[in-house]
Amino acid sequence: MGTDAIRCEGLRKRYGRVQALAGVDLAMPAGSVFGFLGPNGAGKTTTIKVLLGLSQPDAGRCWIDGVPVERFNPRSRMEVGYLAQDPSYPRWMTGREVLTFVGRLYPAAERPIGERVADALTLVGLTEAADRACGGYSAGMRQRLGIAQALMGDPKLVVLDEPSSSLDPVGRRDVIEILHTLRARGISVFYSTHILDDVERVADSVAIMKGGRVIRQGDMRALTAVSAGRYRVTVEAPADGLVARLRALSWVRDVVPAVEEHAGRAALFVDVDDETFAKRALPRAVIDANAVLIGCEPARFRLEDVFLETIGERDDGVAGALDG
Amino acid sequence: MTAWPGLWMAEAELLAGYPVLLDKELHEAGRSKRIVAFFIITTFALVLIPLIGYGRVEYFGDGFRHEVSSRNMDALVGTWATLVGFLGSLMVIASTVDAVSHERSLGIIAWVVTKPVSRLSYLFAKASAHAMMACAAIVILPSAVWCLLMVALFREVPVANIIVAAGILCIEMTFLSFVIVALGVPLRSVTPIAIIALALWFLPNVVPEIERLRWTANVLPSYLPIAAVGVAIDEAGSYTLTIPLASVAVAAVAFVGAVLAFERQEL
Repeated sequence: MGTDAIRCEGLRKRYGRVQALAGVDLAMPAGSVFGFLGPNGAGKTTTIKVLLGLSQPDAGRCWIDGVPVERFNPRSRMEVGYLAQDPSYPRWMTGREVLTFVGRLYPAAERPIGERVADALTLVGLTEAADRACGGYSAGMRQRLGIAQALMGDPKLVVLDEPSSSLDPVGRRDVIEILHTLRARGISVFYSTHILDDVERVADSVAIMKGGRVIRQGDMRALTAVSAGRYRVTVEAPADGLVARLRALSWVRDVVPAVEEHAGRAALFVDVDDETFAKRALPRAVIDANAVLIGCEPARFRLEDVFLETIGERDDGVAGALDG
Repeated sequence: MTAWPGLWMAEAELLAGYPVLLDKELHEAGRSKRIVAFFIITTFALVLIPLIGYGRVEYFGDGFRHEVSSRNMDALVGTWATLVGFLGSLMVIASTVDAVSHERSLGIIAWVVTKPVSRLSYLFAKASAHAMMACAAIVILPSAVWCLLMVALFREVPVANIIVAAGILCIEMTFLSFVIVALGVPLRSVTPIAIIALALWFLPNVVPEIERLRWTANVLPSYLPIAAVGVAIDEAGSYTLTIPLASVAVAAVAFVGAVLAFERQEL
């Protein structure tokens, strides 16, 4: 894959008596969408501040695209676009003026500034509102403008801090689509958020922080995959008696109820001895138990399961299943 | 770890982004209603000086342009310098006091410095834009109107002295702009900045002990308006040179200190 888009080694940062970062080691593959997760106070924002030169670590180093992040060196920020959690711009500027202002701060960018502005406006769907003062923009429009301004330097890496936190479902969907487009263009996206569904939809890899450390990171599929011989069965709720009926089968080792997906649906993790046999036999067994089968597939944990288990907030049996 | 950022930064990177930031600051200041109001108030107040003087000051000669005694001319010119000096200082404090804290509270500083710009550029652009606007709106343009009216109404107006005095008044506006922007680095809210700026400026006028110290009359930036008056009425002493020079030095030291603190500040 070559050089990592972001690499951090042993980042430490203390604010008074609070150890905000306690040795952060992080590697983000280039060209990927990277979900950066963690509960409040985990150290996500402090890590981002260090990456962007807004804060100086007490110890440790980080690199962006192989270039050391030097707080005093503007050159280290040439290849990075940044969207803050709650972006704010001079209210009197129009969207186009904001983008032009930011674009002029990147004199080394290859494309002419007018082309970059037009491209960014098109990508985020703000072309029609581009000449309105951004003081009158809605939260969603400000967020989209924030993504556009982050792209004005034709960056290799975009750091997005909670880009969907103030958006409605339509706005969130738009952001996800923009992230897919950025990935298609080869831009690495570092995506910090609380909205796990969004990360699951778009991220290639994730890191989970807790207590100032990255306690789990890796490829999304690897993180959510479970051991062979486990199926996820989704049925219409209620599934009374189904667990007992399945457990009674000789080729079923265990059945663990999962988190309910939606109202009216229930999901189970079923461990089997013979995966090939179960592929045919399990759906029939569910139907024979008078349950309405919606889906039966090799189990893949939801990111929420992985996240809650990782930060130690699960006690309903799935934690054990994940460990298994 | 880097202990002294400026030593290894290339010159171009030291002021990276400055022209763009200055352009934005000037654009923003030009849209400020405060600056427009200060220009109108200052111009209106200055225009009254020759108009009232034309009607009331004792004159001789029989043309439209009055010929007045040197004492009266000094009074007219001294009133101009005093008015601009003291009224202008209040205006600069009012227009600059929230320059940094406002953008800090909105997160605009953090937004800007994540771009390839230096923090020095940010502060320097902010201070220099405020200084330029203050010089233009409070000193140069109103004084030009006043001076034209003076020349139209009176003979033997000391234009050369007025230009030099206006230069000292511009130093005053620049000093205040840079020092107040510098105060915005360690102080996060407007009130302490305003109190320190006002104390810095007016304390010598209300605390006689400061005024009685012999050296203060030659170096204290608070006496810049007096230096301007001295030049304007042709009573220039050494203080008319030492006060502006000392003010430039004090502003430079305050600003450099602020930049070094800003480089290390968490945003």
